[in-house]
Amino acid sequence: MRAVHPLVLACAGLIAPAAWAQTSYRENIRPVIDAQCNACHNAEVRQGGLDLSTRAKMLRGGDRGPAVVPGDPEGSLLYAYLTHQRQPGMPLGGRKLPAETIARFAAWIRDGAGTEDAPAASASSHWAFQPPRRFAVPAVRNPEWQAHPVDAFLAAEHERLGLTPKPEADRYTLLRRLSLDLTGLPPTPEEAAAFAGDRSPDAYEQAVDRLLDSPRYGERWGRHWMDVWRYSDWYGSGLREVRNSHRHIWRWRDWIVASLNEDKSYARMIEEMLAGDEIAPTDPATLAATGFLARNWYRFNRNVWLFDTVESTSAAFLGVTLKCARCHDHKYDPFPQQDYYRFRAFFEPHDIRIDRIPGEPDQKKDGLARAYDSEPKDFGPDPEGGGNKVPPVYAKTYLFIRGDENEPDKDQEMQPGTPRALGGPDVKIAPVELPVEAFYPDVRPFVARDLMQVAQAGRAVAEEKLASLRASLDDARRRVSEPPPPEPVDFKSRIHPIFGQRCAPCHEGRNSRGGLSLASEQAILTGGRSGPAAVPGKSGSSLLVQLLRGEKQPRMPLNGPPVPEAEIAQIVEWIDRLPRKSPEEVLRETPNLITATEKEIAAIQAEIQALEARIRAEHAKYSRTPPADLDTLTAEAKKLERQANLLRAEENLFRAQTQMNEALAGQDQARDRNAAAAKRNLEAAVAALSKPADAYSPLGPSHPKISTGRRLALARWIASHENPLTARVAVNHIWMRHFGAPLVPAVTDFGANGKPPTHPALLDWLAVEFMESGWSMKKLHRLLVTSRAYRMESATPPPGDPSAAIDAGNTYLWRMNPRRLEGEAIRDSVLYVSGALDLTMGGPELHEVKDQDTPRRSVYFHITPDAQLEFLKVFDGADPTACYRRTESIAPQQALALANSTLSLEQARRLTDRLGAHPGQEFVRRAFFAVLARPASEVEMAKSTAYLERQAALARENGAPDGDLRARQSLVHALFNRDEFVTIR
Amino acid sequence: MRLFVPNACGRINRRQWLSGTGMGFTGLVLSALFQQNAAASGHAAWAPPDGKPHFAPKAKSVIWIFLQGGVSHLESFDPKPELNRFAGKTIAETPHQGVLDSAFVKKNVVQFTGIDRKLMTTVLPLQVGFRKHGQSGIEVSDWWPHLAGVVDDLAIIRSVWTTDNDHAAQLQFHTGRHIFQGYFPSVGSWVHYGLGSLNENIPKFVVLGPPVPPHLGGAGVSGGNYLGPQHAGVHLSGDPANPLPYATRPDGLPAREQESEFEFIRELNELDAARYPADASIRARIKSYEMAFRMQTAVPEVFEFAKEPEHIRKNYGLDQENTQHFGRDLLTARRLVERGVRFVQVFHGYRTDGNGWDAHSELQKNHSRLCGEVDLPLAGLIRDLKQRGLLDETLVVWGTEFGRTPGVEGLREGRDHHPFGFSCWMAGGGLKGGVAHGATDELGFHAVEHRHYVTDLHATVLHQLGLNPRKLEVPGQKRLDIDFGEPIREIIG
Repeated sequence: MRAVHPLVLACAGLIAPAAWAQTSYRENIRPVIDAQCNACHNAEVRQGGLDLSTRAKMLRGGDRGPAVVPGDPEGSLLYAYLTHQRQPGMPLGGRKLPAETIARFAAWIRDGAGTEDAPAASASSHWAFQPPRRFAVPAVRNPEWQAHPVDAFLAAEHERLGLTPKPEADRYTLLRRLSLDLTGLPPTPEEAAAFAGDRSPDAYEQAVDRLLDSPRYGERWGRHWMDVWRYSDWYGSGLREVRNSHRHIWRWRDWIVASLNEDKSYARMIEEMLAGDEIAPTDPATLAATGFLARNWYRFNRNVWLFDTVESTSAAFLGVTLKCARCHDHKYDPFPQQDYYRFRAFFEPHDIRIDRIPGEPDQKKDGLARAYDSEPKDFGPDPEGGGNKVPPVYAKTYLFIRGDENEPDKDQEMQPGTPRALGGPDVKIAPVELPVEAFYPDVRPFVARDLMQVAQAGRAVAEEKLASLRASLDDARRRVSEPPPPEPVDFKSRIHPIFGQRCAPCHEGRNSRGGLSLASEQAILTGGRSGPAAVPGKSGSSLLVQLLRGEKQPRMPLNGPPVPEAEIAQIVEWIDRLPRKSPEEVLRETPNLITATEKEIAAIQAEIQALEARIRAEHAKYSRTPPADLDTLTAEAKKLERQANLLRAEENLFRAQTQMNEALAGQDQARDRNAAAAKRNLEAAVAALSKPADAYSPLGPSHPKISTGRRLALARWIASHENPLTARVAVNHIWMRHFGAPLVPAVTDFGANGKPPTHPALLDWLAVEFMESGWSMKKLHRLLVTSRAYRMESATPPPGDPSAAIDAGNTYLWRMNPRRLEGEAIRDSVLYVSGALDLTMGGPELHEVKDQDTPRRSVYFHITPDAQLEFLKVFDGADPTACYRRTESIAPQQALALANSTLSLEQARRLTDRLGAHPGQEFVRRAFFAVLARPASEVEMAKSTAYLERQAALARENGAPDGDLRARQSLVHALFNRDEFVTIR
Repeated sequence: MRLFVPNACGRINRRQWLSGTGMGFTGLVLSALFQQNAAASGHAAWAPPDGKPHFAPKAKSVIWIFLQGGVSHLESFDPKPELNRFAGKTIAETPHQGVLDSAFVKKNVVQFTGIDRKLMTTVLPLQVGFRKHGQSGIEVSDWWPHLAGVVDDLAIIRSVWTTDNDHAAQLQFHTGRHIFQGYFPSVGSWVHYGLGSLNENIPKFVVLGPPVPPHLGGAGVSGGNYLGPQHAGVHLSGDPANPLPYATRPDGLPAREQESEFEFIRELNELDAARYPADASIRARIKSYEMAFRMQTAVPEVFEFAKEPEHIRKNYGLDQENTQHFGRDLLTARRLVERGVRFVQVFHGYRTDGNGWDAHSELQKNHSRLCGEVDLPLAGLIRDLKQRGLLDETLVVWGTEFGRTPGVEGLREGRDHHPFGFSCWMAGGGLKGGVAHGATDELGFHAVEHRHYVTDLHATVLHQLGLNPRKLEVPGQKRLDIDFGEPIREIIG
C-alpha cells in the first residue's frame, strides 16, 4: 500500500518541473513503448492479451485488466510492471528502464494519460491536412530582404533569432551554382567570363531565363523527379523474363523530360501519369505518362504490385505514409485501415499492356507500356510467352485483415475513396467511353501496314529456305563423290580452354549475355538470341568467328583484348571440321523438306490474302459509317482465312507424315501422335471450309470499351487546389533541391510522425503561389533562384560567428548550404567540360556498362535496383525502390572513381588537348576557367605552375616523351578531383 | 616528406581493438555531419552508432558462406533413416503422414508464384551414406569427408526454416524478409553499420564469389537499404589484377607521379578547407583521398596468394582443378579477416552453372560434384583459422536458402525446394563445437525442435560481435520481432 514508489521520489527531485510539463505522449511515451514493449505487445502478438500499440488499447488492457488508469500511476499495471513492483518486471528479458523514463510514465499517467491517439480529434488540427493559406508577406527591418517574398519570410526569422544573413556570393560561384542547379552542367568559360563582366541590372535574371529555356533543364530536373517517382527500367530473370517494371518504360522518362521542358503544369502531369489513358486515350505521347503505373508491375503478385502503386502514389504526390495503414489503423495519422483499401480501389481495375509502335511488329523490341482498365481476370498467360503466368485483376477490393492477403474480409467490399482526413474536393467517378483506337488498338492503320510487312517478310524467309534446301541438294549430289571429311577437333581439350579465360565470365552459366553460352559444343551450335553461333563446316559465316574477329560489332570479348589470331584459327578449324550431315542423308531427307516448304509458301500466300481481307473487313466494321458491302467483306475474310488454315494444316500434315514415315512404325509414339494431330487439324480445316465460319480472327486483342474513370477521379482530387498536400509536397521537393535542405524535413511524411516545417508560412505562401501560377515549375524555380537567399555565400563561418552560435545547423538559412553533386551531374560535367558530351536526347535506355563508349547524359542509361552505371553507384546513386532524397556521402571509393576511372583520365587528356600547349600560367588560367568556371587565384596560380614544373620533371624522369604534356594532363585531372568540382558552393 | 606511406597491412592490433577504437573512416554520410550539428544545437536525441560494441564481444569478424541453389539437409547434416525404410512409398503410406497436414505447410510458406507449389510426396531414399565422426560422434554424410574431420569444431543447426519456397529465399536469408515485402538492410550491413573499422585501408564488408542474380535479390543480399549505400558490401572480383572498381592505378601511370598528383589535389583541397574552416565535408574529402591512395595498394595485396606457403595453398585446394576457385575465395576471406575486415560474405554455386545446388534431378550427381568443390576448402578454412588462433575471434557461418524435399521430384531422383526445415552450421567466434542443435521430424520435413527462423542466425552473429540490434534501430524505420530474431543460446559457448 505504498503511495509512491521510492524511485519516483528519488528521481522527482532531480527533474526540473519544466521537464514534467514536457512529458508528452508522442515524444516521451510512445517512442519508449515502440522500442521496448512493441515486440511482444503489438496488434499481432499480444502477449498476455495486451496490445500497447495505441493509447486506446492500453486503456482497454489485456488479460489482467487495463494497463493504464488515467490519473493513477499506482493503480496502473503498466507502471507496476515497469517499476518491477509486479513480476515479471518489464521489459521482459531486458534491462529495467532508467528511473527518469519511468518517472515520465508516472507523470504522463498522473496527468491523465493524455490523448494523441484519438486521430479523428487531431485530424482537424494537424497543420499539413489544412489547406495552405497565402500568409501576408512579413514586414522586416532589412530593406534589402523585403522586396522578394521568399526573402521577407526568411528575414523575419533571421531578425527574430538575431541571425545575420551572408552577403551575395561572387559572380563566378553564383553562375556555377545556378547552372549546375538548373541544368546539371557547369557554365562554359565564355559564359562565366561574360557573366562576371556583365554589370547590367538584369544580367542574373537573363542567365536564369537562358538556363530554364535550355533543354538541359528537363534532363536535370527529370532525373530529380525520376527519383521521386521511382523510375526503374524493367528487370527480371536475365534478359528473358520481365519481373518488375516493364519494357520500354524509357518512353515515360522521355515524357518527363519533355513535360518539364515545355513547363507542363504539375497538375496536368499528375493527371497524365495516373490517368493519361482516360484523358487522351489515343495520344501515345500522353499514354507514355502512365509509365508511372507500369513501373509498379510485378509478375508474381498482384497485391505486391498494388501495394507499391499505393505507396508510391501517396508518398510521391501527397507526402503521407498511407502504406502504414495496410495492416492496421495508422499509428500517428487519422487514416483508418479502410482508407488504405479505399485508396487501393482506385487502382483495382487497372492493368498494364504494351501497344504497338509504328514500324515495329515485335513488342519485345519496342512498344508503348501503358495503363488501361481491364475486365477482372484470373492468372493469365504471358503475352510474351514463357511458362509463367501474369497476375490476375480482381473484381473487387477487400480489406485484408492484418494486411494478410490470405484473409480478405469479404464483408467489407471497399469502394474507391480518398482519406477523409485530407479533405479536398468531392471525388466524382465518371466512366470514360473509349474510342475504338483505344480499346482495339490494332485496328489503327499503321498496324495493318506492319502486319502485312511481317507476313511478307515471312514469305521471303520461306523462299530463302527453299532456295537453300535446293542448293544443299545440289551440294550433296556433288559431295557423294568426294573423300570423307577430316577428323573433328576435340572441343573440351582444345577449344573450351580458349573461351574459359576470355569469354566465360559473360557466356557461361545462368545469365549468359545474349543467351549465348560457350560452355559446350551443343550450346554453341544452338546459339543464343541471335541464332546459332557456329555452322558446321562454315566458319566464315559463323557468328562466333565474326564476333571474335570484330567483323560484327561489338567485338568479343567486350571488356578485354581481342583473341589472338592463332587461337581464332583453332576455332575456325574446329568449326570447319564439325561433323556435317552425310550427303546420303541429305539426299534422302531434302526432297520432302522441299515439298513441305513449297506447301508452307502456299499457306503463307493464302494467309497474306486472308490478312488483307481481314484488314478490309475490320476497318470497314469500325469505320464511322460502315459501308454497305460490310457483309460481303466479312464473308470474304472468313472464307480466305479458312482456306489459309487449310493450306497450313496440309503443310503440317505433310511434315508430320514425313516424320512418321521416317520413324520406324510403332517405335516412336511421339511422331505418331504428331501425325495424328496434324491429320485431325487437316480434317477440322476441311470440315470448316464446307460450313459457314462463325468469325474470322481479329487483328489483335480487344479491351473494355469503357474505362472506370476511377484513376482520373483520384488524379483530379490530388491535382486540386483544395488538396492540402499536393502543392506543399512538390514545393518542398523543389526547395530542397535548390537550397540543400527541405522546408519539411521528412519529405515523404507530412503526417504527425514527421517534422513540422521550419518555415510554415513560407511553405504555404509558396504552395499557394505555385498553384495560382498554374502549377508552373519554371515560375517556381525562377521565384526561388532570384531570391537573395538563394544567392548568399555558402561559406561556413569560423567558430565564434554569432549566427553559427545561434543556428549551427543553418535551419533558418542565414547562409547557403553547400551540396555535393549527384553522380549524374559529376559524370556529365566531366564530359561536358572536356567537350565530349553528346547532347542527343531521349530514346531507349543505354547499356550501363557501355558508358565509356557512349558520352550521353547519365539520365539516359539503364537503371534498376540492381544495375546502374558503376560510377553513379559509387556516388550514392538513386535507389529506384525508394529515393525521395539522395544520400550525400563522402567515401574513398569516390576518390578512386575520380582518380582512376577511364572517364576522368580520358576526359582530362581530351580537355588538355583542347586547351592547347600554352606555357605555365596561361595554361593554368585556361584550365581553371574550363573546369571550375572561374579564374585561378594568385596562390592557386603559384601552386599550380610549381606543380606543372615539378610534375613534368617527374614524368621525364619516368621516361615520358613529353613531360610537360603529362604534367598538364595531370593538372586538369587534379582539378576534376578537387572538392570544389563535385560541390555546389 | 611523403604524405602517403603505403601501409599494406594497416591492421590495428588486438589490444587496441579491445580498448575500443571507435568509428573508423570508411565513409561518411553528410547527413551524419548535419546530425551532429543538429545534436549540438539541441534538436535531436538520436545519434548514429559510435562503432563500439554494446557489450564485450566474443568475435570480431564473420566469414559468412552461402551455397546458392539449396543444399539438401538430408544428404549433408541431417540423416533420416526413415527415408530409406519407406523409399518409394508415398508419405501418406508411412506412419509420418501427419507432416502433410501440419499447420506449418500452409503457415510456413509464402507462395512465390502465387500458385501453390506441389509437395513432393513419394519418399526418395538417402542418396548417400552417413557415418559418425569426431569425439562428438555427429553424423555427417560421406560427401563431406573433410568437413567431417573438423565436426568437433562445428555447431550444426538442424532446425532452420524460412518462408520463400523459391530462390529469392537467398534474399530472405540475408535480410530476414520475403522478397514480396521488399528490400531491407542485409545482415552484413548491420554489422558494418554497428561496428567500427579495424583497418582503414580495406572496406569493412566484402563480398566474394558469384553474384546473386537480380530476380533473386541481387545486390540486396549484401545491400544497406535504408542504412545507406555506404553500409553495403563491396564486391571484390576474383580478378587479382582488378579486384575493386577503380582501385587500380591506371596503366602507364607511375606510382610516384600519381602520389605527386594526390599531394597536389590535397594542396588544392586544403585551400578550400582554409577558406571554409567549419566545413567538415572538405576535411572528410581530404581524408577520403588519403585512404583511397592506400586502398590501391592494400586491396590488391590481399590477393597475393604467392606469399602463402605451399601447405596453406594445398590446405585450401588451390592445387586442384575442382576446389581451386572456392578455395581461393576462402583463402581470400581468411586474409581479409586477418587484416581486420569485419564481414566477408562468400557465395558458391552459380559460378559455372546457373543452377548451383538446385538438384531438381540427379541429386547424387549434382551434390557429389559440388561437395567435391567445397568440402576440402571449408575444412581447410576451419583448420587454418584454428592454427592461427583466429577461429576464436572469427565466426564462420555456413548457410543455404533452403533444404530439399524428402520426396522425389520428377523421374530422375531429384529433390525440390524445401523451406520447412533445413540445416546450417556455424563455427568459432565463441560458439560451442561438436554440437548438433535442433531437429526436424523423422522424415526431415518440418523443423520441430528448437525451430529457428533465419534471423536467429543473424541474432547469433550480432550477439557474438557484441551488438544489440535493438540499439541499432534507425528512427522512422520500424523493425519487427521477426527481423531481430533471437540468439541461439544453446550453441553459445
